[in-house]
Amino acid sequence: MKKFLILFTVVLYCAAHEICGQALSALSGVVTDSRTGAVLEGAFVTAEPGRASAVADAEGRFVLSLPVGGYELTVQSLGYATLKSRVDLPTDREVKLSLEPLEMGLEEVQVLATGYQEIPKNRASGSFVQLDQELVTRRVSTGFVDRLEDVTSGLIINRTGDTGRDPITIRGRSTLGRYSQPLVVIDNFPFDGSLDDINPNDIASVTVLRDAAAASIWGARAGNGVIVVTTKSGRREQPLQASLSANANWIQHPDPFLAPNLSVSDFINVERQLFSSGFYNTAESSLSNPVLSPVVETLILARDGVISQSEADSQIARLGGYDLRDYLDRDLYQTQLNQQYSLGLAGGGKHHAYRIGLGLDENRESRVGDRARRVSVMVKNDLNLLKDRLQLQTAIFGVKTTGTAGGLGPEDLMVNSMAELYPYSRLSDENGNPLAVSKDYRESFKRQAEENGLLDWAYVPLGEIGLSPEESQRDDWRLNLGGNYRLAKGLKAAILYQYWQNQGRTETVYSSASYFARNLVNSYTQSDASGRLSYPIPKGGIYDWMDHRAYSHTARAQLDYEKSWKEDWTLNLLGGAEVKSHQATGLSGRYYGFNPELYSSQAVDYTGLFSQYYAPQSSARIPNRDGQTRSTDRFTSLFANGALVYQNRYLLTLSARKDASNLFGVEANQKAVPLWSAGLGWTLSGEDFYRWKAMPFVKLRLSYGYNGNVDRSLSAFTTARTVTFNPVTQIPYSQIVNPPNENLRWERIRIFNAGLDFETRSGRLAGTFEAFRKQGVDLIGTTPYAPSTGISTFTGNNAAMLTTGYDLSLESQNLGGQLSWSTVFLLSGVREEVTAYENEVAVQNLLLNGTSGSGGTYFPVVGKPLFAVYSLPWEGLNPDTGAPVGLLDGEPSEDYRAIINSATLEEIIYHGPARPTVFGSLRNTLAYRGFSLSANISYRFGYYFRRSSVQYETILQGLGGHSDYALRWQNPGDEMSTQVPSQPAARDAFRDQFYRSSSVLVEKGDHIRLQDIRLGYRLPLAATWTKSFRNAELFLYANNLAMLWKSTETDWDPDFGASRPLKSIAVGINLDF
Amino acid sequence: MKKLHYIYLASAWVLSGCEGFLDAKPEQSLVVPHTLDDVQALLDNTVVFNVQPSIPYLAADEFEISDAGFTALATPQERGVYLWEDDPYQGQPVADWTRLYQQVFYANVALQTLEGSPDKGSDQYNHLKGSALFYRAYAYHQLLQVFAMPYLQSGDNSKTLGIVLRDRADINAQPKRASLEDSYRQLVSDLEMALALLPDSSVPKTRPSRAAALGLMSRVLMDTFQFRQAAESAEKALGIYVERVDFNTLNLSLPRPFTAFNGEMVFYSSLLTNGFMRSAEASVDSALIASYGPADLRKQAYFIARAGGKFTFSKFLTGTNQFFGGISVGELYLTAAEGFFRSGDEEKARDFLNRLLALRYKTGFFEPVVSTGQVLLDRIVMERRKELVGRGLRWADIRRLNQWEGSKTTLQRSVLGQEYQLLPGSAKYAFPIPDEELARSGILQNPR
Repeated sequence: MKKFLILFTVVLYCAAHEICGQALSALSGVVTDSRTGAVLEGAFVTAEPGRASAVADAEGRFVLSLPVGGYELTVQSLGYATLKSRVDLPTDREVKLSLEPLEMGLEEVQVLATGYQEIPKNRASGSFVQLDQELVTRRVSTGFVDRLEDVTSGLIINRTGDTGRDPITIRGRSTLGRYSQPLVVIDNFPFDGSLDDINPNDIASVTVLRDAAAASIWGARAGNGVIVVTTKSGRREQPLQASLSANANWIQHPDPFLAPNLSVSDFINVERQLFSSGFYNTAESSLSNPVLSPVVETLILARDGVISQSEADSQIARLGGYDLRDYLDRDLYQTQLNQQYSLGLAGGGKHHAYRIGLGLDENRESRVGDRARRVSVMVKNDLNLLKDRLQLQTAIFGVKTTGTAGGLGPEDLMVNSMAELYPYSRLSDENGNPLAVSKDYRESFKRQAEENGLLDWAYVPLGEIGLSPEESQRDDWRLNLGGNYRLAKGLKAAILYQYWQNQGRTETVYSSASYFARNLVNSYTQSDASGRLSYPIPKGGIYDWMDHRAYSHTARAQLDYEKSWKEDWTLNLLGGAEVKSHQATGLSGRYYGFNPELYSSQAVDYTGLFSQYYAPQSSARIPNRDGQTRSTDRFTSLFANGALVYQNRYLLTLSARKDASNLFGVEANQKAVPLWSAGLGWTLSGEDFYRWKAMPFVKLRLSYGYNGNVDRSLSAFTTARTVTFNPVTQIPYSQIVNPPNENLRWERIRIFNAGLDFETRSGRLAGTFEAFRKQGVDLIGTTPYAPSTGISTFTGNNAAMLTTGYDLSLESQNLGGQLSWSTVFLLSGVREEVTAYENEVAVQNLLLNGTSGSGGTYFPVVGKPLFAVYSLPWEGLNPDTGAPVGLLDGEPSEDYRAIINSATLEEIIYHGPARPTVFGSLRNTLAYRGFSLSANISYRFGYYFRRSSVQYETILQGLGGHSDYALRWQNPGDEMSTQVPSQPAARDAFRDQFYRSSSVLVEKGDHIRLQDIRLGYRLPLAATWTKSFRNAELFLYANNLAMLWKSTETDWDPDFGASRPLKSIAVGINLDF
Repeated sequence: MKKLHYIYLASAWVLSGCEGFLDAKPEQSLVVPHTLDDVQALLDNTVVFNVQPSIPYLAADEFEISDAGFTALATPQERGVYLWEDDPYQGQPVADWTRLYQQVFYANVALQTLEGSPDKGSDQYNHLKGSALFYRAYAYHQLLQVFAMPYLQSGDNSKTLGIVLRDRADINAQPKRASLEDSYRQLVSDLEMALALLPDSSVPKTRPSRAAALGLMSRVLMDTFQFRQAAESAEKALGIYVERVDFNTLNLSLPRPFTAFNGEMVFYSSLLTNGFMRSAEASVDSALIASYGPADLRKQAYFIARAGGKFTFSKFLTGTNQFFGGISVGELYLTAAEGFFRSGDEEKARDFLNRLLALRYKTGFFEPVVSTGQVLLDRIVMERRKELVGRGLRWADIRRLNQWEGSKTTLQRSVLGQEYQLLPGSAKYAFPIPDEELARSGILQNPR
């Protein structure tokens, strides 16, 4: 990784030069130590352009075969400063390269950013993972988070277990609360905005802080790990350099046929069955005219003798020939196309450096009518004054994001608020003309209403595209100011300040032609005795809006002190204080009778009750979307950090931080929490007795300490929230959100980390192995309470968790020379276990919730991981009835309710964790001349998932269901070939629940994927048209390529269920002038 | 190094200097209730308060549902309660229980907040305290109707299981079920305190008043067979609450003949709703419908006629689509009539009955009741059924009437070709405590 960074630097520094022709010429050389003149075996030589490389042999010699031209050679060897040298080929002399030994120690200084300081890697005792720019730009994606996946050791993008709240996990989860996400720090300050607003092309490096020694400087917010992002800067005394990159990424369109839906013919058969049992009578005679499907309407006509039975059958047969998914596939989805452009300008003079970055992302989303765009700009300026004693930094980052969501997806195609559109809905005719489909109310009622003068009540899905687009825009600005002043030798004072603001608006103008607007107007239309109509909701469009405004001020004062004694001792101290205030305000509202021509709207009566046209006996108030929210977060912190190094071999680090915040209703002394860490490092290879030549660098690290986490939604006192809209009295009221909890404390994560870093001679194999133990104490968990207490759940410090694991990362340089081959192997293991939990979880909750919780409510079991898969034993199907059979008191039983309710933790099956416990990736990179080929294989092992199957509860209400219905037991003997239960005579929620919770649906999740391939080609800079470039690269990138192996024999993808990750292919170009 | 110290001192000073900095509310809409207005806001939560169980609506004999309608019922609870099954909820949460204890919790939070108030003794303080006590009593009373056996006119009520009584908002306290006798005693003592504190009337009618408390007291006294006091309590309430609604003044052809918070309503409370109550296949018991005479305006005021001679209950006293379950003028008249009758004052009983019926029959078609004895009592009971249909009150009446030989009722259902019945005195007159409560607090289940 280090080499890439250096290479990149070389590229930036060197001037463009010519390489002519194709003729190859041999370049031979010898590498020596500049002081002793000793040859350096294993030194690594790279020639640019072309990236040909070679390793020096036992005599320090190397040979490269290169096309004739000018080259920049880079020579690296462990413990020596990297040397750059120019050669012109052909040449007949041997190149002599002598390297300066490094004073500092074995390793060249590589810095790790924590957001408070940049630590040279040799002074780090904690657990850091660094991604350089090359890795950050390897993937093609709009967002930055995607680029961390499969290249960051210990970090996983979750695909199971409450992924909405918990998308990223670093080294396992160590909280039960809702605040489970790592802290993201950009340019020294915690980032308050959306991660989507970060232009990945502006990122210089990413450092992930995984243990207490690395992260405790972030105190109460570091419990879930910290991701530190550093943006690119200019360099002093560097002429203007420009980099341009552009790419286009095609993402395949979603396949609606993958959804495991009841087939059209099964759906119709069920409707026929239900019709003959009188199921639809309630709806048919209902006063509120609920919609009936075309099949049911046809059956009604046949029953009433309006049409003949054979006519009905042929109409239904015709309906059976349509499939909604055809229309989704053809008319509503499209291939997604993401285009990304970025331009960077950087340079600097004697006293200053600057960088300007511009970015444009233009995405055509997968739904016809959906678009998104992001424009970003950054300007950074560094100024050195007073003979470099004073440094001033200013930076401005601006991002404007706009999006249009005007398309329709399956979740928009609803027949009413509960059910999806009938699978045989026909959205267009043979000629592609959009057609109306049944929605909300019966067709006969709608026709009558239109005759009575109401607005057209028809719903034409394809006609709706673009009629009510949701337009969103967001502006995000960050202003960073910083100054540091060298007070004395070794002593620096710094003041940093950041102002951040984010302003956004989401609005939807439902045109007067949209179904949404027409339906609302019609529903509230009042008809008096003479049939005269009045309109409490005025005719016209409806304009919904939501404004969001947030800002924060963060200021930090910091002192840095460094002193060395007698070359043996080095002391680094850092201390300071930080204060932060963040406020977010949200407003929303709606305008009725909106006229886009005049930009006007009309007032409505929100307090009156209006009878509903479709159900005159029921009445409702006009929906009021007025809303206001404001939240304020405040933090004050004191922090200190110190490192003591002896002879570059022994290292001691200490770090402490005390945070206080405006936690609601907590006594002042409980608002603050002190957190600390200590670390030790020992460079074993620096000892005199160390003699292992093949492994010239070995370092051991140990760290211990605490990180914190806080659930800011809790309070020690009874808290109530004011609700402004009361449907009964119109008087605002309050709602208790938090019962009193005097014992509320902050969560603490105690982390022990042991690490081993090593590098073989010439850097052929380098790696890090770390083992860790994270103990979450005072964790905040939610437990169900007896309803007679007046609350259903209680949230408090009632749990503890233990996470142990390891992370291994290995980098090897397998081949040098013309054809180079390198491998990066990442392996992480993590074992989570709840070690204490004050309450006992009802077994039913474990069974009902496939992965023991979602939406922030979890069901921890002591001795098991937080997210786990449990099931009820499955005894097959009853050969006579096809009913599922379970176990009750050890005997086969079909008393599903008793099976479920009497199940105990000992009786149910614990399969294992629901999240991968072993994961990582294997990335191979081959380079030959200008070509480079890199492929990443990712793997996830050691977990289970539950697949879905048929649930008769919905099917027997005519709401559709799972395609496994077709595989159900139908006749005796079927139990030999299927495990899908038969259709019960009547709905039985417990039978469904038993099947859903049974072991027959649990599968092992282990799998290996070919994640992505990147093929790059660096243009030879000899061609005349490329003369002005320092670097030009073309690349192809393909993502989500294939499942190489999976444990389950079903069609299911362990991480994506019935669907599949969308394949994509991108082409791009990177140019440096 | 010295400089470092100075800077540390300076920053410590800066941080302690902005003491108020950390006192900002994290969320603007949040409040730690401590003022009287905060308590009022808690008690104005009509999502929690002013709501009562629907189990009595489904379990009594006022409504029936067709087989097709029954099959289409979405939750096991609706089906199970309608058929008085042994396990009616099938393990699902039961709002009828949960919501009432939420009311108790809110009332207790209000009472505890008031304990720390500096404004003790002010009118607002008294009204709030009275309101909280009233709400707690109302919740206890509703719980007793559904989850405890009927109070016995003759028999020992101190051995029967009552309800869980909670007098503090302490979620970790875990009291067991009190006896029926003690449950009623606590409820009466809450109500008596409330009566001394509440204002005569309140606006809006979701807020408790003395008239409402007297009305609730009359319900409790009827339950416990203290007829004279029940009648006097109702009479007193009618003396304080003087508004009356003559159904002749209503436009009965409207889908909603009653307006919100109309004069008939003394205290607003609505039933929890479910699919059964809104089903088009559910209809009013045909015998009950037949008992409304042609001049009786209530038939048109409450029901709409459907095809096949069926009637759907859809016009509620709330004036909205919520089912009314609170205290009405009609109920007070009928309680007074029945109470006076049962305590021997037939004349007063007849007078209260006639004064009510005059407001319910077509002007000019009403013939005052002149009967006496059992005939008069039967008429009072019948008018009570007709007047208070669909409010969940019938269930309590059946539990009470079953204690006299002459007025015992066996409830019957016929669903999907099967017959079901509920015999007087059956243990099923107390519905089971929900599973989740038993699992978490370990209180005793009602015997089945």
